[in-house]
Amino acid sequence: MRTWRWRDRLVLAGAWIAGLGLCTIAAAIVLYMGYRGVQYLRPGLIFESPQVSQSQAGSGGFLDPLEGTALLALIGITIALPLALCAAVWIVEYGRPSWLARVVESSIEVVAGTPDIVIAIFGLAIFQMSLLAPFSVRASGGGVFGRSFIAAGAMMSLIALPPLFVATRNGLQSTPVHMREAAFALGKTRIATIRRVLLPGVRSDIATGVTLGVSRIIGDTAIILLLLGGTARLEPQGSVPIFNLLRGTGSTLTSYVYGNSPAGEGLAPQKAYAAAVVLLAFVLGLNLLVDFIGRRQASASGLAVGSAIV
Amino acid sequence: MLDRLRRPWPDDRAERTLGAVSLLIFVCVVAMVVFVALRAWPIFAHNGLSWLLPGGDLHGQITNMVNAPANPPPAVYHLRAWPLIYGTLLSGVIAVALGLGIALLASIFIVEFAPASLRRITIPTIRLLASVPSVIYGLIGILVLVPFIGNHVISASEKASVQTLVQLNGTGVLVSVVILTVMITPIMVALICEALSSVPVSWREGAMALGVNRLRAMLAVTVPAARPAIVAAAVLAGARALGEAVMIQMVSGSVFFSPKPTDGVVFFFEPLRTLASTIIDYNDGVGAPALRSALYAFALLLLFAALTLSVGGYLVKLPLRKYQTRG
Amino acid sequence: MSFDKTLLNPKRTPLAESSWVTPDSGCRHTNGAEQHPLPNAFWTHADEQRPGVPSTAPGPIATEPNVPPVRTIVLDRTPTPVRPVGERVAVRPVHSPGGPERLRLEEVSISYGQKHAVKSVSLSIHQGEVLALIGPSGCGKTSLLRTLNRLTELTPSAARNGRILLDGEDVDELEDTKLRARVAMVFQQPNPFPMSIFDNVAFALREQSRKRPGRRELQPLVIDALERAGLYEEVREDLDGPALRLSGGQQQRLCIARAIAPRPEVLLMDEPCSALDPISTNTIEQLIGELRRELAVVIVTHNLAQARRVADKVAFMYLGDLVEYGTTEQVFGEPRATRTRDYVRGTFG
Repeated sequence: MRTWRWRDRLVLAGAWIAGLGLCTIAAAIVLYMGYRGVQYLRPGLIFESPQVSQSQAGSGGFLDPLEGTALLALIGITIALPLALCAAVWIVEYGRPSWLARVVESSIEVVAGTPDIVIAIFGLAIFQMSLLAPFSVRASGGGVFGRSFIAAGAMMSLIALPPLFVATRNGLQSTPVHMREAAFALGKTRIATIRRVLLPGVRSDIATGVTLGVSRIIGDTAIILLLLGGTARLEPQGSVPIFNLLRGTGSTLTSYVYGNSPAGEGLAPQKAYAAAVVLLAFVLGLNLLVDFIGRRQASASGLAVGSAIV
Repeated sequence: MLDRLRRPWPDDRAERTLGAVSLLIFVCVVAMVVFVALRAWPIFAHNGLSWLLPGGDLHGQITNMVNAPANPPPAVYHLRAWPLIYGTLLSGVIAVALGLGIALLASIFIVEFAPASLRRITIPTIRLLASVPSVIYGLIGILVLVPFIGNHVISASEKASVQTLVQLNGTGVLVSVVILTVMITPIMVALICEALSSVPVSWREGAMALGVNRLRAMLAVTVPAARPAIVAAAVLAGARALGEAVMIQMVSGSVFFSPKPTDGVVFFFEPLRTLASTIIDYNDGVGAPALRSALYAFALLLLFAALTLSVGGYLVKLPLRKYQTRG
Repeated sequence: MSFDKTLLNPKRTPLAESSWVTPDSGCRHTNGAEQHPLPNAFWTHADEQRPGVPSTAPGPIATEPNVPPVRTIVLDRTPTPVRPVGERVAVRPVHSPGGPERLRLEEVSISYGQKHAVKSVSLSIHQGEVLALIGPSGCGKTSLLRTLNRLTELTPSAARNGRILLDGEDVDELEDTKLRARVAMVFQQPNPFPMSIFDNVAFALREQSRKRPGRRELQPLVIDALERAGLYEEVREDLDGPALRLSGGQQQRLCIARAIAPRPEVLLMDEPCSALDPISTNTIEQLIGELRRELAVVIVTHNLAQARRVADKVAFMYLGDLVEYGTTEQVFGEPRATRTRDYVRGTFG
């Protein structure tokens, strides 16, 4: 290396700086948020609902946003999981005619590449139709409000669909052929094989996909800002027990952080930091979970697992 | 009928059902394009394609739309949204260009030069960067970087120089581009690393046996062999950068202003606005018909751009294939 | 150089005396008996009409009733020569006196962790000679070859003792890139880069020069290398076509052209023909014969017949030790060590 040309040495230095620099930035973000979290996060914040008050800095926590996040993740995955499983199974196991399979795969790639703001505004377009008025609120002027948990959850399912689909499809494609052949030799139909043999075999891939999907859902802000109505607390609409919650508006951790920062009302940056720390902790925890699942599957089956980083 | 559902399904019925459900996704995508295009139609009807061009005071045009009555006269639909397109392209292109260079260097570091212990730390760390939500990036930007730049980096004279046009408070091109680069680089690093490590070892060995050092072997043989993946990484990152809404809205200044490179250093501190951040800013005003069509037109443009990037990326990869396949 | 054509006659080779090969036996495997007293049903009419086939009279059943029938195949006919004999003779060299010494190994040992791959080998390699390293699998010949251009350093656990001198200079003192510019290597699997043919051959030339030479300066050098490798006639129309479209034999010749383009002093070849068909193998063996005029060539091969065809000097290695080193006639004709004799006879492999 002493006798390398200076040009090569410069590039080598650049490579080291780039690699270590990215790590430093990551460490700086985590450490800074940790510092702010230690400063501002109290256990009380997690368990108190937001309160309307003059001194925002003192009162109210973010229990409702937490509940909103959990509810949204639940709705999103509930809609996305069957869709993704059906699509992955159909493409890997059937997939006839092949042009149709390509169409479906391309559609999922289009959804994966669409910016979340476009998905959000598409959700607005759909749920502001009179046909879908039951899913949100009809405003006094006669227009449909179009913003509710169902609306946001439906669009969140589009966000979670690609990671789920890719993980399941990769899992199914890497199941060895002899598992299918053994089942067919025993006389099982294809669909029974899928239900009883293949899908249980890719459980950890599905778990990886779900975790990635949830991580994407709870980190997304644009859809929340457009489709969840922006009330600090969960405000159910109507009288049917669970359905009123779904029809109602609310907030999530992300919109809470946004609202408390100078870009929103900006009154309580401390609370924004606190909520941001909790959010970051969730996302990092989910990432660790993905690694853990991957490592456990690799040691169990002896195969290398590729994680879908989308 | 429930009985028929409960009995084991024959394969052809299962296949048709699964296929139908899968097609739902395609229907969804088509519906997305159709709905957005329909809502955006009035802008195209009143402006043709010239709403993409510069002209007039964009802020005034949008304000007109916001204040217009329920059935607005055609004049309200007048729109020249070039500053937004310019802002989107400016931030996106610079971020992708910077990010690609950094990602390539970092990938070369990870694949070739990092000792094994460092590699074990670096890879999860960079993956961590990829999963941080954009609102947290925006928060750090607006609470840390913006005040720092506004108070300590921009001098008073620079602020005075553009005072008549715009307020310089730290938000603007510099913070937007820096944070956007940090956001999209990890995606590219992951893809490029995977591509570099899947290039056959025999090429690297052959290059080293010809008397080139490890860096030159990497740059002259392995990196060109991974060109399709590098293109794919740039395209994916570009689509992400174009569509970034919340973070940009928090740190870009939210003023309908086109930063001018001819202003010199001040250019980096001037505020900008992108298509996506405008949609966030005005999303309450979706009730006003003219504004609604304008926002949907922006969304349609973003959708079209993302689609074009994907197709373009695929097309660029095609001619490179003839050198990749083993004869 | 003249070739002793009598050496081409297979009857004169000592191998003819071994028990499993007889002259003129072609492809037929016999149990020792010349006649095949097998039931009529196993012979076809076509066989009966061919000359040289034993009579089809159904004689007594052979003493081993379970012997599978033997069929004659087309190749048993007297082969027609592909080229007129004498036009391009096989590269069966006489022991040439060789040129100046290029590489010298002194007590070289290589170990990977606890495993000793090569134990204390001393050799001398001269220009104008082809040295063949032969021996059963795992005996360390590939490790020895790869250490000659310090490619073993790419393996973290490898360690080497002993000295290697290239033209009198210790290779450890040289920078590894400079060393590999003078000691080139061709691998078992052809590995042309995913570039055009021209870029492949010009690769080393571009990388090793101070300032990047332009295409016009490189063109004659590239063409010369391709000609020396015997590939130019086949690719002259399409030097810019992708290298990966060539056939296996052409790719290997391209790798040879790429290796000899910067005019190295020594060429190392690690079983270069093992992945190729016989015609390509023959072409490359001819090539080696021509190349050794300007280079020293070291070739590792599993194929004893190839070693006899191609090499001037032979080094036989067994489990890391250099058992015997001498000229080809000597090692194959009158081996000094019993183990060598057993190996070249085929007693073990």
